Amino acid sequence: CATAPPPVSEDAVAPAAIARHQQHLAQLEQWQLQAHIALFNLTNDERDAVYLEWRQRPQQMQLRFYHPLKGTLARLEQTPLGATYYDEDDQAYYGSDAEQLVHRLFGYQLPLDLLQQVVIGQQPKLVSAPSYRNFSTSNGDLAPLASYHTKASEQQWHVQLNAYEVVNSKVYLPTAIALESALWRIKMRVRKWQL
Amino acid sequence: ATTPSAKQALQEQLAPISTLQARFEQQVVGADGEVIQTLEGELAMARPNKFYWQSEAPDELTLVADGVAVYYFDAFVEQVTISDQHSAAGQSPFLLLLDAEATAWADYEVSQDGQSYTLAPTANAAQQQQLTLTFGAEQGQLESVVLTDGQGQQTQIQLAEVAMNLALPYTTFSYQIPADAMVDDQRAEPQL
Repeated sequence: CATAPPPVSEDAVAPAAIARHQQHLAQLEQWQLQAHIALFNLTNDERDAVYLEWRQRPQQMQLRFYHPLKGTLARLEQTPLGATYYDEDDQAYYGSDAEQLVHRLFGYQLPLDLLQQVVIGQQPKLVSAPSYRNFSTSNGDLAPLASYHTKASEQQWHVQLNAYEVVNSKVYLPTAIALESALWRIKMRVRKWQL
Repeated sequence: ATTPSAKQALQEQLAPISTLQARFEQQVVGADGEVIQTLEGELAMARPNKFYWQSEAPDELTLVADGVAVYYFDAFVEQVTISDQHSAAGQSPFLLLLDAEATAWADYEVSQDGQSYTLAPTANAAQQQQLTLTFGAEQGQLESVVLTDGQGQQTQIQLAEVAMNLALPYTTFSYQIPADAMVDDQRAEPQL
């Protein structure tokens, strides 16, 4: 895992290095990750952690939450046609999209659309106070995001990408991720990336 | 052969094991046969109902069943989840192994293939996990456990350095909640 150089502000990084990295991400058609994800509900001080298998295809997002000894806990899938949630007994629940379905089923306002960008380090359109890490590589500098503020699911989020890994010796992808809003803290440790 | 004798044969295979300790390597395999997680650590069992399982960093997880409650600690979220063991036995057939009299045995059909026994859930079983146990030919020590969750995940647990019927310190199965851990008590009557 590449030890991350220190974060620097936007003006300390060449715009081309930022653009070059974001270009690499834009070319990612599909990816898959294995992670440990922890969810801290800051309103009622409850928390939970599960293991996550996430498969992303151009038209499909598939999440599978599991426990090392109990097996699959739940699955969540989203396509342009809508979202489906399968519980521990494989009972299915349907919704227009994953965020709306999770909110309806659990009352949680989770930024699943934002998360799809955060986990690969993609820069959302509207961010403030971004900072970057400058990696010099054989074919030019790359400046992946280190942290930024953005709005999603009616909340202000502070996103931190604390560690990166070079995948297929080509693209830098985050391995330690944290998001925090007034209501939630989410942290993810990505064990394995596959492109 | 799916005959009552397979269940009996398995219970006879388990009977001489009063305690068991081992190192384990655990692989979680996805629906397409790919290894999606590898854990290593130590486990211990003491019949009829005590179980200890701890995986090492980077996945620091601990599960202890003391016969009454199951404690599950996940260092990543610094939380201990406590649940009643009798409901937990239904959750994981691993805990079923320990207790020959457990009613949950009725939820499984047992089939035997040489040194391997498979516990398959009956149609109306509460949960749909399937368990396959493989014993060593000579001393009959447990060698591997495979859990299939019925939704595409298989957990393969390979045991090594298996020691059977040694006296285990009492503390093995009494879980000390870390001082700074959050407690998520899911027991019917939480007592702290």
